[in-house]
Amino acid sequence: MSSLYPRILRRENHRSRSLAVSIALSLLILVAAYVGIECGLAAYGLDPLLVTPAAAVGWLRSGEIIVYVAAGLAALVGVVLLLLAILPGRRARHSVPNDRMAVIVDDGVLAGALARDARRVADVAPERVRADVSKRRARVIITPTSGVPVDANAAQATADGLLTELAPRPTVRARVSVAAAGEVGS
Amino acid sequence: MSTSAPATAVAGRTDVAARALERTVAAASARHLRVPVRDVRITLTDAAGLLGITVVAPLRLPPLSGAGEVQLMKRGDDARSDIRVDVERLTGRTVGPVSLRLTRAVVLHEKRVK
Repeated sequence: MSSLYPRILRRENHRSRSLAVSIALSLLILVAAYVGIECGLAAYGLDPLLVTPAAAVGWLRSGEIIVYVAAGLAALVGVVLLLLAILPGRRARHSVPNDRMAVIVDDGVLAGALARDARRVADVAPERVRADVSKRRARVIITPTSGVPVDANAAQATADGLLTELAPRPTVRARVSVAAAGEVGS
Repeated sequence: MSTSAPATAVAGRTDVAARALERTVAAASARHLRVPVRDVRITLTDAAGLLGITVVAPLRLPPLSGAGEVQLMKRGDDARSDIRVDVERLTGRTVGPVSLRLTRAVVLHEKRVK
């Protein structure tokens, strides 16, 4: 059980690579099968399906522009596959420690909670607060009402308190800022 | 604007639209400039978080005017300061710069006391 939850949390926090792997392997299988068939046909001296291996090799060595284009495309696909394999593939989620459950929170939900608290502390209309959460940083921007000062420190303290209480993993640090220009009317 | 007083405050909030603020400021300005409200144009802006007010209004010329330039400017400044105090009192907003433009002059006679 203690080993199950971390695995679940990891799976939920990262994108699955199975789709990319399936597509890449399927393509590889098709290409390998075709090359094998052509080589077999050539070995028994039969007519090729499309081209004989010798003709294909000759074409590759011909140095025509199309060969370089094809090589470039293949390299591009290779780079994309490499990135898919290497990059962590994080989803926009955080896990919240809990003794009894594996808890996953979408970043949008975290941002919503931060925005709601900031709105309450700053006493502004809901649409005056924008919040977004990335892996390690949360940004809260409060647009004040003209002539009504907003206590940025209190809002910052509230955001810090919420993040300390929730303790999402990976750790998120909040930065609350009050927009320099307010809006007339509230 | 009620700030947070969690013990007694009712949930929800009071919003004052810009239009309502404008009319409030217009009324205060008209009162201090002693001109009809319909002649007063108000533009509200944000001045680095403060409420910036621009008043465009006619100048009320007193009958039997002996007003020199100094007095005119003083009247404008007094009106601006009165408008500021009034608006802050009425709306609870901290007022920033108040500009007053007198675009024309009207002679409004006081009604004769009968």
